[in-house]
Amino acid sequence: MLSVRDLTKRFRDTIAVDDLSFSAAPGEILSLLGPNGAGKTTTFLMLCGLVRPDAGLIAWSGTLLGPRRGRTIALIPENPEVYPTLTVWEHIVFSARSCNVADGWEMRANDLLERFELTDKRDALGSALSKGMKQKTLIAATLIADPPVLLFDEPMVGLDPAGQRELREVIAGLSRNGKVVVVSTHMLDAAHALSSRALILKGGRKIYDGDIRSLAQENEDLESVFLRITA
Amino acid sequence: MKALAALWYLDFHRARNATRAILRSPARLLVWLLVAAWLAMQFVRRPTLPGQIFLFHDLADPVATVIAGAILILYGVTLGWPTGFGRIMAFGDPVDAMFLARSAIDERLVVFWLQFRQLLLNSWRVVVGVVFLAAYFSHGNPLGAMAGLAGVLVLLELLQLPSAIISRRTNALTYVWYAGAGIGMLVVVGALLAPAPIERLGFGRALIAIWHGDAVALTALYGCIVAVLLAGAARAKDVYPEFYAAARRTASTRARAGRADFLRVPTSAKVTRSGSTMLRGPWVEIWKQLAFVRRGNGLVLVGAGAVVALAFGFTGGALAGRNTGAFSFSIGFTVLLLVLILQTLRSVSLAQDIAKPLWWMGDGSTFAKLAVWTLASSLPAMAFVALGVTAMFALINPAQIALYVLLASCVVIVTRAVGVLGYALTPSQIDQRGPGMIVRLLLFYASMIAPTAVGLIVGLTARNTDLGLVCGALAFLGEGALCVALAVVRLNGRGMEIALIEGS
Repeated sequence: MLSVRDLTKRFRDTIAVDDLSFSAAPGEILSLLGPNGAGKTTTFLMLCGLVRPDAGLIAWSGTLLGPRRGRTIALIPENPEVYPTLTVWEHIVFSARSCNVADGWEMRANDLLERFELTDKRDALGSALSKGMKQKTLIAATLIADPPVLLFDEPMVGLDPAGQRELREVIAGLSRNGKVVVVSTHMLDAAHALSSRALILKGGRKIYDGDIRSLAQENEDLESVFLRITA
Repeated sequence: MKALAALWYLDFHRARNATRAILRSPARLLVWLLVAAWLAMQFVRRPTLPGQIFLFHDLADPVATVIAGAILILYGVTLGWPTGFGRIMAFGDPVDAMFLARSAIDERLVVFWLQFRQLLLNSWRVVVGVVFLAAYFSHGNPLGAMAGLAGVLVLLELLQLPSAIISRRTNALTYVWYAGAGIGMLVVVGALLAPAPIERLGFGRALIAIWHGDAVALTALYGCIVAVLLAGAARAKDVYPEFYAAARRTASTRARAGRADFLRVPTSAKVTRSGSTMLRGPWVEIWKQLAFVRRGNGLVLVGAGAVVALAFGFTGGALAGRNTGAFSFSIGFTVLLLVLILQTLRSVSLAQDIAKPLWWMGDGSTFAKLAVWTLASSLPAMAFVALGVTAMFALINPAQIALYVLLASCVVIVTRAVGVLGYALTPSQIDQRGPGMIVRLLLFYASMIAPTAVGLIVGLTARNTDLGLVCGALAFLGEGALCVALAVVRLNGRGMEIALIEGS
C-alpha cells in the first residue's frame, strides 16, 4: 500500500501542494486530476524523490520512504526525455545495471521490447525516436527494474489514438500485475476508461477523492463535472 | 564495482554513439579533425616559445604573477558564474536525474563520478588553457609550469560540483567565487599601485612556485584536488532534488544560451509601452532584447557588467596615463581581447526562430532579420566594451572616445557575425560547444586581418589616424555583413532542417 500523509510543498510564496494525503493499494489505478497549476506534477516529483517536500510522509507497505524512494516509486514524465545518444536497448541495459537487477534480465528485456513493439527500434538512438517511442523506451527501462509504484504524468498528451489505446492497455496490464499506478491527466475520458478512482486537486489542495462515476449528477457529462468541481 | 561499471557503461556508450554520429558526417568530422590538428600543433609549438612572447616574459616576477592571477581569476569567475545560478555542467541532463534517482547506486559514488565527468567535459578547457598559457608563465621549466597550470585548472573545474551542492544547502558558499574574484582583483590593483612587492603575500608566492613547477607547491596543489574530490563525495546525501533542479536550469539555459534573448525569461511584466511605439519588421528583435533586459534579471547583470567594464577601463586608463609604453596599452588590449574572445566563444542557437514559419513570414529579407538578430545579440557586450573604452580613453585622450567606441562596437558585432556563420556551417550544439568554439576563434582572428590592413593603409596613406580607424571600423562592419550574407545562403529554405541538426 502506498501511503502519502500531509505532503506539502511551497515555492516561495506559492503553495504548490498543500497537506495532501491519500493511499493506493497494489493493483489499483488512481487518476490524479486537476486544472493547470493544481500541483499534480509537483506531487509526482516529490513522490519519486526529485523534489524535496517541505512536510509530509511517504510510505510503502508500512515502511517510511526516505530520499532514495525513487527505487520504489518511478516516474514517467509528461515529456519523456531519453538520452539522445543512447539506443533503446542501451537504455534498458543501463537501467538494469544501475538498479542492480539480478542476472537473467536480458530475456525479460527482450520480452519488454517485444511487448512494446520496440524490437525494430532496438538499435535506434534516443534522438531518432518519436514521443510515443520515447515513452515506451522509458516504460521498458523502468519496468526492467520492477518498481512497485509507477507514476505517469500526462501520458496521453501527444499520442495518436492508437498510441493512447496501447498505453491504456499497458497501464491496465501493470495494474493486473499488482503495481500501484497513478496517472495524472487532463483527459477525463481517458481517466474514466483507465480507473474507477479519482483524486482531484485544485490550488494544491485535495478537493475530491473517490469513485469517478459517483461524481456525476444525473445527465451530467464528465467535462461538466470537472468544470463544476474545479471552478 | 557494479555501480561504477553501470556509470561507465552510460558515459562510454553515449560518447561512442556521439563519435559514430560525427564519423558518419564528413563535414562534422572535418571540423573536429581540423581543430584536433591545430591543437596538437599548438601543443608542440607553444611551450618552446616563451622567449618570443612579449607580454609576460619581459615582465618582472611580481607583475607577471599578478597578471597570471588575474587571468585565472577571470577563468574562475566564468566557472563560478553558472554555479552561482545553480547550473552544473556535469548534471546538465534531466534524464540523468530520472535514471539515477531510481538506481541502486550510492549517491556519494554518483557525485564522485560526476566530478570526473565534469572534468572530462571540460578537459578541452584545461588542454587549451595549458597550451595557451604555459608558455606565458614558464621560467625555464615548461613542463613544471604546465603541470602547475593543469593542476590549477583541474582544481577550478572540480570545485564546481561540491561548491554547488554546499551552496544550495547553505545559500552562501557560491559567493565565495565572487568574493575570491574580488579579493584577487584587489591584489592585482594593490600590487600595481602599491610599492610593496606581491611576493609578501602568500597568494603571489604560491602562484610563483606553481608557475615555476616547484615540487612542493605541485604536491600541495594535487593534494588539494584529491581533498576536493573526497570532500565533494562526502557531502553527497539526498542530492537528487538539487541535481534535478540544476539539470532543469542548465537545460533551459542551454536552450536559451545561443539565442539573442539569452537573459532569464521574465515570469511577469507590466506593459509599459503601447504596441504602436514598438520597433517593427526585422527590428522587432532589438525590441525583444531590450524588453528582456528591462523585465528579466538583465538589469542586474548589465549593472554588474557595467561596473566591471568601468573598473577595467579606468584602471587601464590610469596605467596608460602613468606609463605611455606598450605595457599599459597591452593591458587594455588584453582585457578587450578577453571580452571579445568570450563573446566569440558564445554559441549561437537559431532553432527557436528558424523552425517557425512566423519567422520566415515576417517583414524583411532573411539577411535583414539575421543581421538585426546579430546586432541584437551583440548589444550587451557592445555596451560593456563601449563603457570600458569610454572610461579608458576619458583618461588618455577624450577626443578619441567616439572613434574607439565605434571601432570596438564594430569588432563586437563581427564576433557575433562569425558565430552566425559558424552556426550555419555546423549547427549541431555538440559541435558548437566543442570544436566550433575554436573554429569561431580562428575565424575571429582571421577577420581582424583585412580591417587592420585597411585601417593601416588608409591611415598611413592619408597620414590621418582617425580616418584609418573609421575605415578599419567600416571594414569590420563589411566583414560582419559578409558573414551574415554567407550564413543566409546556407540557411535560406532550410530552417527546419538546420533546427533539427542543431538539436542532434
